[in-house]
Amino acid sequence: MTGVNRVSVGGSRIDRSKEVRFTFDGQSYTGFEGDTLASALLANGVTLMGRSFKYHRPRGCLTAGSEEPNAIVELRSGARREPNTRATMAELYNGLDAQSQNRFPSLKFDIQAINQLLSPFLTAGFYYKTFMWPSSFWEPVYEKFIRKSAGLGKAATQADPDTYEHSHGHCDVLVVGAGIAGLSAALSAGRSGARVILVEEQVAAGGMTSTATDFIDGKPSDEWVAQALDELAGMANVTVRTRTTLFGYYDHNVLAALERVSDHLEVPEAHQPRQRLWTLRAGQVVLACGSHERAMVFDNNDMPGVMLSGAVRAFVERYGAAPGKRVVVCTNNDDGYKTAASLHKAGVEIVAITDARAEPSPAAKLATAAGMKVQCGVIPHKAKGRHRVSAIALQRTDGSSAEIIECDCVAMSNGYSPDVHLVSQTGVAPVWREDILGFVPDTPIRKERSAGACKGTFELNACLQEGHQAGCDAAEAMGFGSGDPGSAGTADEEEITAPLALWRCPGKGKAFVDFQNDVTAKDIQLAHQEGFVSVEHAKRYTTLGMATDQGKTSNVNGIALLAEARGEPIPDVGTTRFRPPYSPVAIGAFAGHERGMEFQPVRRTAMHACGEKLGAVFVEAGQWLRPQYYPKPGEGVMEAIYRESEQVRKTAGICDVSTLGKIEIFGEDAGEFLNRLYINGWKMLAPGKARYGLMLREDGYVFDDGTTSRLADDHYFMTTTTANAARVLAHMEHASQVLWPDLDVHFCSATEQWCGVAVAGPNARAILAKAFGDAIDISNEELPFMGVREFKWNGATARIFRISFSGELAFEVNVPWSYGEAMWDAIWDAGQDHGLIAYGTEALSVLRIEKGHVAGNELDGRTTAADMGLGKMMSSKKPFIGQKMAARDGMIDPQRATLVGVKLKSGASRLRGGAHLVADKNIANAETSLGWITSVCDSPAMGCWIGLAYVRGGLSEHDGKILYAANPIYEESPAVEICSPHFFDPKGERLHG
Amino acid sequence: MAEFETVHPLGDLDQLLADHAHHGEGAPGVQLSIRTQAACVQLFSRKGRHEDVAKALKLNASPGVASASKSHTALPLSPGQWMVTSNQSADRLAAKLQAKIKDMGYVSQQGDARVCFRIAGPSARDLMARGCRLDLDESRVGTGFCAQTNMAQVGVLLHQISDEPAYDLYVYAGFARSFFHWLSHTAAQFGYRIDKL
Repeated sequence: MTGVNRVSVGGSRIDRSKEVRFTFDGQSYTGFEGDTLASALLANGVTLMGRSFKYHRPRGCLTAGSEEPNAIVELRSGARREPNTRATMAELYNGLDAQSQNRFPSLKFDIQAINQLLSPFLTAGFYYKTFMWPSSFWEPVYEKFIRKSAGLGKAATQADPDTYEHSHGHCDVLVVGAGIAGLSAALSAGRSGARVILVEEQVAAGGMTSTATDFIDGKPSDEWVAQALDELAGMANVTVRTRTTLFGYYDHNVLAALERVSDHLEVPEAHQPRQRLWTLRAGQVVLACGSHERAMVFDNNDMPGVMLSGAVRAFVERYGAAPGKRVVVCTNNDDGYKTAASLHKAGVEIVAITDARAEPSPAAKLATAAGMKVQCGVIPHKAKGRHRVSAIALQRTDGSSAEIIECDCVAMSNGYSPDVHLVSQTGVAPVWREDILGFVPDTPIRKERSAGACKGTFELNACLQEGHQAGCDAAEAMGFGSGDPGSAGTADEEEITAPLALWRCPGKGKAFVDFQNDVTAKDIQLAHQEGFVSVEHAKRYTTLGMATDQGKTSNVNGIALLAEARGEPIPDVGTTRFRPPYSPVAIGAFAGHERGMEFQPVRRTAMHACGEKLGAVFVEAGQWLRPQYYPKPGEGVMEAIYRESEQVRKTAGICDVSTLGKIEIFGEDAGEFLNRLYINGWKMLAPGKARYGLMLREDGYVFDDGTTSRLADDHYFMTTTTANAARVLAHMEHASQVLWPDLDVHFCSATEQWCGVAVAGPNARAILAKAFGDAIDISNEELPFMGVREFKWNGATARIFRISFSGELAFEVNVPWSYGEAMWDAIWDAGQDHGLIAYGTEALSVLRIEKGHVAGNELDGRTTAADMGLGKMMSSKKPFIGQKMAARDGMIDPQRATLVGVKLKSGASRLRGGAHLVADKNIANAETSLGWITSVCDSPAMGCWIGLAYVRGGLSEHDGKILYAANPIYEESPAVEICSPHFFDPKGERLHG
Repeated sequence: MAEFETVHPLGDLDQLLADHAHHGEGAPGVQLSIRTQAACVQLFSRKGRHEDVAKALKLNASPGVASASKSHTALPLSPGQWMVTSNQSADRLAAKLQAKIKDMGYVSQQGDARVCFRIAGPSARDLMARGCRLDLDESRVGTGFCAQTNMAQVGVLLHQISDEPAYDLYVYAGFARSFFHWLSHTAAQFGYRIDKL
């Protein structure tokens, strides 16, 4: 037998033949396989499991499920350390290592328990009232203090070694909760032929049904549950997922659930994730998520050993763990008697049962007949004890005092609140039912229905019937009305008598409403006194209903007390709106695979390995990886970039330009289509020629640029910038499908069909001639500037474009992806006698800045064609996208900032992008800014730092003038000379070479 | 000039297969295959010639359903567009298609742009559920189903090739390594074997 409080009866979830060793706060204990940490601790006689958040009061577990507010612990250690887990949900495994939280130096002796003495000052709104003045203390003092005081547990500082994943599920009928109603719904829907997913938060089905008192179809309820599960397992159309919490109910019946795949293991099995996040898409949903028992609000009701009655029953029946040896049951409803019966069956002494109701119910009479001492019209007054309850002082409902009973456990039941969290997430406002003292779902908005306790139905027979019917209705709504749903089970049960409203047992001490946030009944009254009369305001002011338990055991008590304070009925106060997640979900589960290498997919070019071979340093360009520069041994970044850009102009360089967006365009109207997309004309472009094009967005600002070539009368090949490739394609789809569906034009991405290199520099032609040999004649006569040719190379179709971004004699060559490395190698080998080097995106940028070519930095979504000095490209002979909007006053204002060049003169060793240009370096602010620098480089061709910039008044106002490039981050304002952006070879003689 | 050889987007396939030869004990839940002989040609019908092209090539004109013949399979992409796949060479396939549709449409080679992964085995559908948002249950879709979707943040052209089920997933070449990284990691929980076709 493991543990002093282990009973021989019950224990449906544990395997008594398998002992499991674990530690709590360094102390070793033994439990059974199937235990939770909480049940194993209780079995070992440990009731002190944590300290409360604000007052550091000793706490034990209040519940046996995910709604647990008190027994919050750290699990595991090192990289797997996980704070704020609920001991009631943590399944035991061999070697489990748990630590209590929020205490120093130990759980039994916690220095911060002194807060209890300060409790008159630590009332609701304490932080708001105390940390207001002086405001200069907010960050340096108050924030530090609050951060130190707030928060529970410590997160691991190392990377989580486990994996998490996502999965998608679809079904006709999703049943949430495998209690009696949920099982009944899954059975009828499954038998009807509908595709059913049944999710259950707990490790086992059965819900709150009691094996001691509940009988269905003539057998104990656990046998019926096992039989139902067997039948469901036999249906190919039904999937049952336990350890799976449905935590979010979103639009269009999309729901989210968290499956705890490996939380019950020390480490996940090989290749298994720790948790799996499910996105479920359901035709119909049956909510059968049960209800939450409420605490009685009496003095010291938070003392370890004072627990919810249903939890006491669960610990005994599921785990064979008795929370005490001498139990007092305090109830205001019949469910308390189920717990009493369960304890009685397990041989635990029931010292007394108190029932707030004056008259004995049939359940009370049965208990009396069984020899239990039942006191009607009696309620608890105050729990006594230090770290554990040792006695309970009782009082009569007429106000007179009653006896004090020694005990080590109080099982309290203040009625059940239907679990309306998920239905509330759909937008349904719960409505109050006085007969059950609970909020129930109003008319569904989504394709869902509730059944069982979550709908306020607590009778076993009614749960069976309601679940059955909900399953039938949901299946029928999905077209499975003709299937045979079978019949619902039948329970033997006594009539249930209504509970008695008991929102505060009279007393002057601390009576807790929200255990997790240390919110007392007085705090709610205080919040009301201070004007927080709305339930939403009172929640935020007192923190009632917040944190990991989301107030599942406390909300209704709090609402009722607020209603009392307001002097209004409970329905007039209403509930707060519940939001996802229903219970805590680790960030890792949301991230799933999307971390580390898989945070975002990496896109590699066909010639990636060629870059690697040459020692390229890669840079992310969107999802692409591009060679940024190719450092030689001992060479720094700037030296490498300088060398590469200098060498291209001296001999030749090769650059991987595969990432440019490429689009094949076909159709009789393809030319007309381009004419409407681009600002310049395309109809006169002859086959075999390329042209630079600029396109605007609908609002008239520059969208993208690139070259488009005409390969045949009805076949064009467009290139876009790397960044805008997908956006341009989408823009074209919109234009083709929506704006001009009459045009005969068809296109598709060819970005990855073709890979490409740019070969630039005086020796480019010689190198390519050698590389491609007889395959293509690339002489100036055969392939003049802006010429395009297709040719066959080693059996593949290749395309060569005589275009230049660098201002040098240059070609771009495209071959199919699989030929990329072979092409690179062929050109590389051919270039070795011609001084060919590889250059990356940095040198590419240097070369284009020297030429004054705009790129991503200049196409920032706020610039017009005229701003870039390309205003004359805008054709007036044809309409094009953005034309009208580009003519707005603000867009043609002569004072707009336009593109200029800048040369560093003095005052700093380099230029920096982002610096603002001002006339007086001593007055640099938003008002005096004349413009800003977009791109800079250390130019080998110019022998100094140069850059491109936008300046109000442009070249016409500032040419040759000195301005200052103010950069407050670096605290520098170097002098720069404004000049033409075309720094190098302004006449373009080199590219025609 | 270096010795000529084409390179697969996944690099050295033999090395890849050796590295991932077998994951998991016992019979594998998933059989992954990399289709190296999957020529792809995108086919466009000209305005108003959608049905003519479909007729000429005996293609299914309705969305979401592939048309299969002995020589090729056509996956509808959008009205008037198909991705035609075949085991023959891309050049031959493109030429053959163009010859059949004459001036009724256009073809564009896409074989180098895509990598085709085949997923089969008893856990194929479960593996798909880890990344694919579509409902692939046998009660909903069967052999021939095709769709363009997104898995592991990568665009995928999906084709169910058998009721077993087995799926062909076409992803852009640039994403192939990333996608394979996700695919192999996710498949490991089912146990997988890998080969090339």
